[in-house]
Formats: sequence, C-alpha cells, structure tokens
Amino acid sequence: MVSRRNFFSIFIMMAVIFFMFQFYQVAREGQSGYGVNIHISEEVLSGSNRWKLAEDWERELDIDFVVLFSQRGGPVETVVSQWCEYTKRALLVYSEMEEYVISMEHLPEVVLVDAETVRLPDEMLFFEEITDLGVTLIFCNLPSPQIIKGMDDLQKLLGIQSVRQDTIEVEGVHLLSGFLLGGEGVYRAETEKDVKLQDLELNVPWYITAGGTKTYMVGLLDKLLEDEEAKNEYFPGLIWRNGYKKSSVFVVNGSYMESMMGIGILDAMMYEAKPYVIYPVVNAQNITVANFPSFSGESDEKMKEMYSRDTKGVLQNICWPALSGMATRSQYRMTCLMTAQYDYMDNIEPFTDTLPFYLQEFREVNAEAGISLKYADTADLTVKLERDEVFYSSMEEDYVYSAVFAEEKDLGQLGAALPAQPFLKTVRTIASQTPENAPIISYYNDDITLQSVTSVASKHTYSDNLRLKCYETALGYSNVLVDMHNILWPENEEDRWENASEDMVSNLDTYWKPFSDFQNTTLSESDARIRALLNLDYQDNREGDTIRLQVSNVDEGWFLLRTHGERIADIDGGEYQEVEADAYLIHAQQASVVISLERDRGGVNYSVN
Amino acid sequence: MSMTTLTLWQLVGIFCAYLFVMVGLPAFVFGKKLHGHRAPERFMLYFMTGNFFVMNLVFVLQLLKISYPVTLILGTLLVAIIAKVKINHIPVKEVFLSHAEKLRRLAGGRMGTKTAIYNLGAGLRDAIYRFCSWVEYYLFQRFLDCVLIILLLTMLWYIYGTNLVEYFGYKASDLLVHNYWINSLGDNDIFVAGVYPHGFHCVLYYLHAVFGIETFVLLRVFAFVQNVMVNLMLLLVMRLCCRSRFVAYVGSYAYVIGSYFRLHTYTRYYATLPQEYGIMFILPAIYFGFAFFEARRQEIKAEKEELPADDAKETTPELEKAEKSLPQRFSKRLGKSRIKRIRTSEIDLFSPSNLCLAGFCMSFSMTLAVHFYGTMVAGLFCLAMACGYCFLLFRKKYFWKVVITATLSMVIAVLPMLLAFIGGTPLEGSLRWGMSIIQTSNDTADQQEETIVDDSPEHNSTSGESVPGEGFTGTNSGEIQLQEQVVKISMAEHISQIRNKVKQIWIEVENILKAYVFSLPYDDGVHWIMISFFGLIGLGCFYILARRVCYGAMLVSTGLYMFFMCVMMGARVFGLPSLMDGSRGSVYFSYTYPLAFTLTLDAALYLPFFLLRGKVWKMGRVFFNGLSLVCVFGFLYYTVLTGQVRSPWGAGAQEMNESVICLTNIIKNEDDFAWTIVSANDETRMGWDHGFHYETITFLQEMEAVQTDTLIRIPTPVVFFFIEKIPLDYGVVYLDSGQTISEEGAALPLPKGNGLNVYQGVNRWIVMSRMYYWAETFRQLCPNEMEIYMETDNFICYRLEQETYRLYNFALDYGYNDWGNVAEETAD
Repeated sequence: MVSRRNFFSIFIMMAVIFFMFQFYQVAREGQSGYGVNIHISEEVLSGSNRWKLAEDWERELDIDFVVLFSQRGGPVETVVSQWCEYTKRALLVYSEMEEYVISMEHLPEVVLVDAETVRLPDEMLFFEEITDLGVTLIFCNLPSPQIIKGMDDLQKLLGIQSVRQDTIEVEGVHLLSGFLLGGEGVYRAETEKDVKLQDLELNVPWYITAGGTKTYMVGLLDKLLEDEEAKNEYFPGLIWRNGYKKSSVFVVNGSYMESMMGIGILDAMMYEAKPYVIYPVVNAQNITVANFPSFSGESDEKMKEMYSRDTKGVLQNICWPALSGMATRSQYRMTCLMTAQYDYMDNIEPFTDTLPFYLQEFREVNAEAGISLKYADTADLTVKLERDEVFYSSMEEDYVYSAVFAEEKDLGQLGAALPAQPFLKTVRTIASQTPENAPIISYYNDDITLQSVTSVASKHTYSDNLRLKCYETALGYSNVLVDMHNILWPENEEDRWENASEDMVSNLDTYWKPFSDFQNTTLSESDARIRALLNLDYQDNREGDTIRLQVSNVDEGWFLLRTHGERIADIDGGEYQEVEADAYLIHAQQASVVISLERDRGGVNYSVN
Repeated sequence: MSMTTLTLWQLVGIFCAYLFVMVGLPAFVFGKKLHGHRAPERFMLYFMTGNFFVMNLVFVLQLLKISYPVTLILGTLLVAIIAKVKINHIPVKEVFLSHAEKLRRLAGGRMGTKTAIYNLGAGLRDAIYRFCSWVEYYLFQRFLDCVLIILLLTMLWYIYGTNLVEYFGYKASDLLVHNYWINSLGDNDIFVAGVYPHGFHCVLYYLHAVFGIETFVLLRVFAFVQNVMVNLMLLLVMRLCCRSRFVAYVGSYAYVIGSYFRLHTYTRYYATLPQEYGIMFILPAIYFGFAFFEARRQEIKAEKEELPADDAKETTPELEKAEKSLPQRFSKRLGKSRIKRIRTSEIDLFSPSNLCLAGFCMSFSMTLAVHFYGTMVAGLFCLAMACGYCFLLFRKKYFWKVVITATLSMVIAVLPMLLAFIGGTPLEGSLRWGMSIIQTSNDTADQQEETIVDDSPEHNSTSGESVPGEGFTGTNSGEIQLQEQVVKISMAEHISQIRNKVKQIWIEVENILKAYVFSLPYDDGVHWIMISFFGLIGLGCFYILARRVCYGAMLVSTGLYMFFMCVMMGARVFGLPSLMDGSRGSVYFSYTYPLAFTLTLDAALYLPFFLLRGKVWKMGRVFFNGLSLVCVFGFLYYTVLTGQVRSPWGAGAQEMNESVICLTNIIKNEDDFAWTIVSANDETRMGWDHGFHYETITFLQEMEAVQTDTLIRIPTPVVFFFIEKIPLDYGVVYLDSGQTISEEGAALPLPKGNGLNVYQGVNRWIVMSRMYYWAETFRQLCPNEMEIYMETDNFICYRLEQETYRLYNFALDYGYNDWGNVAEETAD
C-alpha cells in the first residue's frame, strides 16, 4: 500500500514534471511569433533605381567598358551582357570587327571575341594592335583547328604550341585550383555510378599549349598516344591564358561561354589578368523547398501504398523531420513554398489545420514560408490563385508571404496576376527554374525580383558542379531546389523520399561545403541582397597596399576581393571574411571602404637592413 | 628583423650550444674529479673530452647507420649520466632509496612541507653559493685576466666578427663540399665521397641534428666560434707553459691584432674550414705532452721518496716533503687519497700523468680526425718534444706510456676511416691530392710545386687566395747541390764552403718566411726571429742545467720545433719532400710562432727570478708578474705606435648577401620540399633539408633551341629564381668585373659545361644576363604568378607559384636562345 504521504509526494512530482513540459511548450508557442515573417526587411530597394549607365558614358574616361565581337542576340552576348550588368561594366557589342575603332584615349578593359565574327587572317592586325596596347583579350571560343593549324601567328597569339588532333574525346575534365571559387574539380567518371553524372563537353580539339601559358582547365586522357607516357602538360587545354606582348590572351576551347557559367569564367579571367579584383556579389545561399508542405490529401492513396501513411503523415512525420534536421545541422535557412492544392479539379479540398504547425516549425529552424504556384494542367493560373486566395484568407494567420515559386510557363503572367490577389500583394521575389541562358538574378519588375534555381538538390552532375562554382565565383549565390512534388507524385523508385533525401543531403553537404562562408538565406533575405547588387554602383582603386572602394546607391553591399598572395591586414568601413585562399568576402557598411593588404605568401621576414 | 640581428642571434645560439656540449657536459661529468686543477687546464680537458666524445659518438653511430637526432641525444645523455655515476662513484641505489624515503616521509606526514622545501632548496643554495664564489674569484682575484680576455675577444670580434655580419655567405667555395658531406651524415652516409677525416663534419652535424641549427647557418657563422676557440687554445697553452702570469697575452694579441703576419696566414679563419678547426687541437696536444713529462717526473720522484707500501698507512715527513716538492699546480691534485693509491701501486686513471696522456691522446687523435695537415704539424712538434725531453722519454717509465698513448690516439682516429677503406670505400679526392703533393714534390723537387692539377674541392677552392710571393721558387732552391770537387781542397776551403752553404740555406729559409709568413716593418726582422730560435734553445739548455729541467726541455722543444717548421717550409731548399704547400704551412707556422715568441720572452723575464725561493720568491713574483703586465701594455703601445694594427679583412663571400637572406626567408616561410631554387650553384647544398635546387646553367642550356616539344618543368608548387644583377666575382676576377647584366651579355654564347667555370669570370655575367632576360620575359607572360620576391641594386629574386598538376613549361623564346648552336667554347 502506498501511504498517503508517499502518494502525495508522487503526485506533486508528476505535477511538477507535467508543468515543466507543458510550460515550455506553451511558452514556446506564445513567444515564437510564428505568424510574423521575420525574413522580410522593412525598407526595400526598388528596381526603378537599378544600376544604369548614363547615356553619355563613353565620354567619361574612367568608366570601364568591354568590347564584344559577337552575333547580336547570341548566347555569348547574353552571357557577357549579364556579366557586365552584375559587375557594372559598360558593354559595346559589334557583330563586325571593322565596326570598332580603337580610341587611344579610352581603351577597353577587355575585348571579347566570339570566333564566329572573326575573319582571319585579316583581323590578326587588330589582335596585334590591341595586345600591344595591353588590353586583355578573351577568345570566348576558337576558330576551327584547321584554321589555327595553318596560322603560326594565330597560334602564337593563342599560346598554342601545336595542334595535336582536330578532335579528341577526353576522359573527363580537370578544373585546376585557384581559378574558380570552390577549388579543384576532377570531372571524370571512374565508376559506373559516375557515368550518369558526366554531362560535360568531351569532344574537343587537342591543342598543346606553349611555354609561358597558364592553364585553368584541361581535358583528361589516360594516355596521350599508344606508346606515349601521359604528361599532364600535353593534355588538351580547355581554358588557358597566354601572355602575349603587353596583355593576357585568354582562350576558351569549348562552349563554356555560351551558358551562364560564363559569367564566373569571365570573373575568374579578370582575376587572373589583374593584380587583384573586387566586384559585387549577392552573398546568399538559398534552399528552396518547393511544394512543401502540401495541404491536400490528393496523393493519399499513393502515399499509403508507399509509406503506409497519408500525405499529411508523410510530410509531417517523415519529410519534415529530415528537412529540419538537415537545416539545423548545416545551418541552412530554407524557404518552404507551400502548396494548398495541386489538382484543382479533383474535388479534394485542402485541410486547414496544419498551417499553424508548419509556421511554428519553420520559425524554429529559421525557415521562411512562401507560396508555390505549381498546379496540375487541369486548371490555369487564375483558377489556382483564386482558389488559393480562398484557402489562405480562411486562415487566421496574418503571415506575410514574400516569396513564391512559379513554373517558367507562368512567369509571363505573374506580373499582373500577383497584385490581383490580396494574399500575394506582398510578394517581393519569385523563384523559378529558368532556361540556362536566362539571368540568374534580375528584376522581374520594379517591385519583384526573379531568382533562378541554380541547382537541384537531388541531382548534381559534373556540369552542375562546374556551374555552381561559376555562379559562386561570379555572384556568391546559389538557389538550390528541393522539389517535393516528385515525392508526393512519385514516378519511379528514385522519387521515394529515402532515396531522394539521401542524394539531397549528400550533395548539399559535399558540394556546397566550400561555399559555407557565404551566408545562408531565405528567398526574402536574398531578395534584399539581390536588390542591393543590382542597384549599387562602385568604384575601386589601389594605392600601394591600400584599396579604396566607393559604394553608392545602397546602404550596404557585399563584394568579393580576390588577390594574388595577399591578405587583408585591416579594413575600415566594413567587415571581411576569408572565403578561401586569396578570396575575401567584404561587407561594405559604409559608402567608403578602405582595405589594407599585406603579403600572405612569399613574404620576407628577414631583410637586408 | 634584419639579417644582421638574426646572424648575431644565430651566433649566440651556436656559441651556447657548442659550449654546452663541448665544455658544459664534460664539466658536469668530470667537474668533481678535476677539481683542483688549474682552470685553463680543466677547460682544455673538458673541451678535448667534449670534442673527442662528439666526434667518436657520431663516427660510431654513422658506422652503425643509426645516426639520428634521437640516438645522438640518447647517446650523449646516457654516456654522460653513466660516466658521471661511475666516475664519481655515486651510489645510485642509495640516492634513489634516500629520495624515496624522503618522499614517503613527506607523503606520510612525517616530514613537514617546509622541511622538504628546505631540503630541496639546499642543492640550489649550494649551486648559487658555488656560482657566486666562482664569480667572485674571477671578477676580483682574476680581474686582470678577465679584462685581458675580454680585450682579446673584442679584438677577435673586430678582426673576424664584423665580417660575419657584413657578408652572410660562405667565405670559401669549398664550403659547399663540406656542406654536402655534412648533409650526407644526415643520411647516415658518412663517407659519401670517399674516405676522409670527418671529425669536423661530425661536430657540425651533431650541432645540426641535436640542436636543429641549419647546416648552412653553421657553416656561415661557426667560423667565428671556432676562431675564438682556436685563439683561446693558443692563449691557454701559452698561459699554462709560461711562468709569468700575463706574458701569454702578448703572444695572443700579437697573433690577433698585430699585422706581423702575412694576410693569407689568417684569411682562412674567415671561413668555417676543417683545417682551421683542427688547428685548435695541436697546441693542447703539445701542452699535454709537456705536462705529462713534468707530472710523471714528479710522480716517480714521489714514489721514490715515499715509504715502503706496508708503512703507507701513516703520512710521513718524507712523503709530505715529496708532496710539497711537487709544483704548485699539481700539489692540489695529489690529495691524500691519491698519494695513498700511488703508494699502493694502484692504477689511478685520474693521476696527473694519466690525465695528461688522456688529454694528449684525445687532442692528437682529433688533429688526425679533423685534418691530417694538423697531425703533421703536431707530429713535428712531438718530434721536437722527443728531442727536447730525450733524457726522460727513453726511460722505461715514460717510453711505453708515450708509445702506447701515441699509438692509441692514431688508432682511434684512423679506425673509422680504416674500416671504411677495408670495406671498399676509396679515398676522397683531397686525400689523394695531399698525398700527390708530397709524392710529386719528392719526385720533382726541382720543379715547381704548382704544376699539380687536381679536381679536389679544396684544390679548386677560392679560399686558397692569392698569396703574396706565390710562385716563389726559393731562388734556385733546387740548384743547391753538393758538387763533386774534382780537385782536392783544403780544410779551410771546405769549412768555408760549408759556411757559405749554410749561409745560403739560411737566406733561402729567411726569404721563404718573409714571403709566406711574416710581414715585419724591419727588413732584418725575420733574421732576428730565426736567431731567437737559437736563443730559445739556449735558454732551454740553461734552465735544464739550472735544474729547471722540464721548463728547460719545453723551451728546447719549442725552439727545435720552430726549426723543424723552418725546414718544412723550406723543404725544397733542403732537398726534402714538401709535406704541405707554403701557403698552408704558413698558417701553422704563424699560429705556433706566438708560443715560441712568448716562451722566449717568458724565459728571459724569468731569468732574474728563477733562483728565488720562499718569501723572497713571493715578493719577486710581484715584480715578475708586474713585468709581464708591462710587456703586454708595452707591446700594445708599440703596435699602435708603429701602426702595426691589423685591419679587418673584407672576406667577401662567395655568395651575395641577398641570396642568403632569400634562402633564410624561404626556409622559414615556405613548406618543406614545396619549393625549388634556380640559382648558380651555392644553394644546391644549403637548402638540402628543406627544398630542391636547379642549376641556372642547366636551366638555360635546356632552353637553347626551343622546339615544339621542348618541355622544361620544375615540379614544385613554388619556384624561386636567384639572379645577380651585378654578378659577383666567384673566385675569378676579369677585366670588366662589377659590370651590370645587360642585353650585350645575354647576346653572347652561353658557356658550355657544368663545372664551376660556367659561373666564373665573364661567364657568370653572361649566365646572369641570360637568366634575367628569361625571367623578365616569363614575368611578362605571368605577371601575377611571377612576382619579385626581393630586389636590390645587385640582386633580384623572383618567386613563381604554379599548379603542380599542370606545371609551367619554362621553355620559351626569350630573345637570346641560341637556336641549336650551343657555344662550343666557353666565353672566357
């Protein structure tokens, strides 16, 4: 028998324990403020103030400008113009080289050449002249090997010692360290599993680079010829630099400059051509979890078949713990773009009780809630938005939705559609999977930005990795898509959550690790930074070991400083963080930032006197 | 930090490390045993023991192929501790138990903490007390000695040390070879270039391995340390041999600061060379020889005068008398227990005579283990000693001890080399060269000795700087032959002929000494110096007759030695084989001459006082020592007055200061074996433990005729290029020496070959010019990667970073490539 005294003691203890657990939960709910979107900033920069060149910029001699010889509207021009916009350079595009007359008073910073526009050997004289003036020359692609083979002076200009073969299928591609952020990359499929990752351009002309050239990317070969030992120096060059006369001539052997990864390559080339570079970056790493959570039980049947739970249970008990665990462990800041319904014609209505739960959970892991605009083909965008409006307005939460995820096909309509719906009036940014040549970040209109998906978390091929490095180098930006639609509407075994999540986690933990010094953001947070990048203007100059950076049009901005063997000794007007060797992320907090450099490598401790 | 400051710190570090091992550790082991010996004698014994131990420890470990820092440290400590315990009869077990008991008592509360601390502090208090006593003794009782020694060190710093911080590079070209051999010791490959006396290399290797001092730093800086020790040994020996207290300083100062000797007699001291290291063991060997005869004589005398062994329990007046009759410096050592052992005929390893023999054995052995030229000189001195002490040497109680000791010293020194030679290792080039000098000189005594051509490093060395009077052939020395007299001659004519011949020889030797050794303000100075040798012998004979037997014999020996040295220097005059060339012989002659000079002065000063005894002697000693002090200051006054003060010689280095600074920085800042230096020769061995080297000449020669498949790669992440903008004169001066590199130089044909010749004279100018224009061309191609690491008016160093997966191809047309026509002839 339990005595009364003991019974009382046990009762009191249980009551205390009960109180303690409940108190914590109640307090957490009460204090969390989950109904408020903490990721949006109050003051928003407008696209109407975006960076634009003055119409008479050519008269201002201190403006850096780029000359591009390319077909108008071609992929190279798209890439270069986007790069110029991000790095605040003026661009002059000519489809014929004769159209451009060199002005000795205002020389271009760099001349880019699309091989299609070059008429050889007539234009060799121009190359000789421009390199003699010390202007960096970039061949975005090359004329055919037959043409190169027959022109010794062109070979000398390009730094080609010999043309070994007109074309060769390389085993893989080796990106050497020090060129793009993220370091070295060896893209060669060595196992069967790797074969499906190989999607790089493997058939390339085989040029052997000459002495004094510096190579940044090469094709990999197991052996050079049947009886010849493989020497790395004879591997086909893919991207290299040749010192010619007073300038550097960069050569891209392949079509890398025809996609948006070209902007990273261009920034890396400018870094290699100069003693240092400083240019604006976004400094944002997004994880866009699209179509999560789904509030309807449209796929209950399939879910029960695969996971023995309904959709709600799968999302709440299987998917969310994994996602939140990943976010907590790696400090990612997810943007979960919710979908009320997928198919608006199936008469299955969304359940309304789980939204508060998710909003609380999102707040716990610093995630942001947004709206996914994905829908089945059975309806159109207007129907979806109207039905969603009904759903979200029925909620008592007054959460401000700032980010939406839209499919590419709907992008054209969103400009008008979004302001029409009260719950979407507050939207500031759109995340979408855009074509490869579309801008990575841009203003959708003056009020809304567009953030392209840069990678898909569950799939990371070799070209994805190279692209990631290019984007990080150019913008310090990535937007990784975790699309839960395939999980809820699986088509094959790979769409099972355990498979998809395994790939997702391993990819994110592996390939994004070199960029962990860039800040993890939600879409709304990165939106503010993108606006800052697109609006800001800057100038920099160096005197001795001091770099002066003048930033205008924004209150704060982020820049990437890349040096050659120098480190930041001191900074005034901002903060800095080392991203990797010779690369520093600068947070400019004032209009004028003064950066003092000192030797990092190759310094001298003992002097003559 | 400036390189000068760094060099000073390095010097202090090396000095401390060297003294710790060579003097500190032996003092720790033998301190108690040698307590009572005179300080200079103790110092020399410690120093000889330290050197002897280190050399032989390294020899043994090298032969066993287990020479590593760990084994060296363990070997040193174990031997030191075991020796300390055994020699001092320390009851280890009892000491251990005693301490354990104290600990137990402390732990058990039977001993208070205060008591324990007091006990612990007792040892410390004793040490502090001893140190204070030591300081008090030398500061107050030996104040003048301290001042004079500090003056000597100051002179040494002025003459030799200032050069050390002015020129950082090696001061002799053959140091690279020594660097190579020391590096090979790190690979347990002691006889890498053949059998050679590696004692010097063993010492430097030991300092490098145990204390982590870079070998190239040792070879740069150690010269001054060894120089101090060479002069200190000279001073100590003179101090111990002389009767007066201060006259030894005259000899030392004359040797260091006076310009009484020719330049080449001391220029080698500016470099860290084995011959000069070996010099420091010659005079200690001789001193221990002298001291042995004196100590042994006293011991025998004591044995004779003592009572029969069975009555030895009590000390008798006779024994006390015998004790008192011992010279003061030995009387302290012969404590009662030792005399007791003498009486009972026990073998006492630490008896004065045995200690002297041990000292002789170690030092003589080391002359051979370091450099065989030193052994020749020491051997000559021993020969002179055998003559001087002949009345003692051939007695049974001396002879066998001496013979066994001499044999032992030779065996110890030769054994490692003998083992290697038997094992099939050939002789090293310079040994063959040394032998060939003797052989050639013997065969063709009438020919010039400089006809010998050899590829040995020392022969090629630029440390054998141009010698005043080089090429002096002894004025028809080979023509001095007795001619057959066809006709009978009278006795008077015969005597006259002999007199003429002697006179001629005298003049010949005098000329040789003038040409090679002395640089005196008076023409007949050398003549009187030679006469003074007779005076020394005469004084020696006088003292022998005056019953100052050992002192007299010492004087006679030294006088005879100087004559032997004269004979050696002028061997060809006498028709004898030349043991060593004049320039080298002069180094030894000038080093040992101060001893003869000092002893002559000392013996002369002692003349009025030698008969004094008891209290009169005590009073007379004040005058005697006072006179010697007057001699010191008188000498200094005279030297200054007559302008005979030596100036520091600008021993220009074989490498530019900037090169050494760059190398030092590179070793400090760059990862080991992640860099390569492309330079002219010197850095090949200097950065051995840290990085790689590529010869400039090879680099350029490979680039002549750049074809489409020419590939020049250097597979390290960082490459440095050392280029002299004003090429130094590497041992060879040419017409336009000191000119700046230029396009004109680059346009000349690249020197052919790969020996030192391509870096000498005008060839160096061509090579450096070519290299500069290549570097500038490459820098234009890779401006960010090829940066200027250091640049002065004389020198430029480029630093290039490269991706090791895809190395730079350095082959390029830099405008001066010779396109397939590598010069057949050298440009010089």
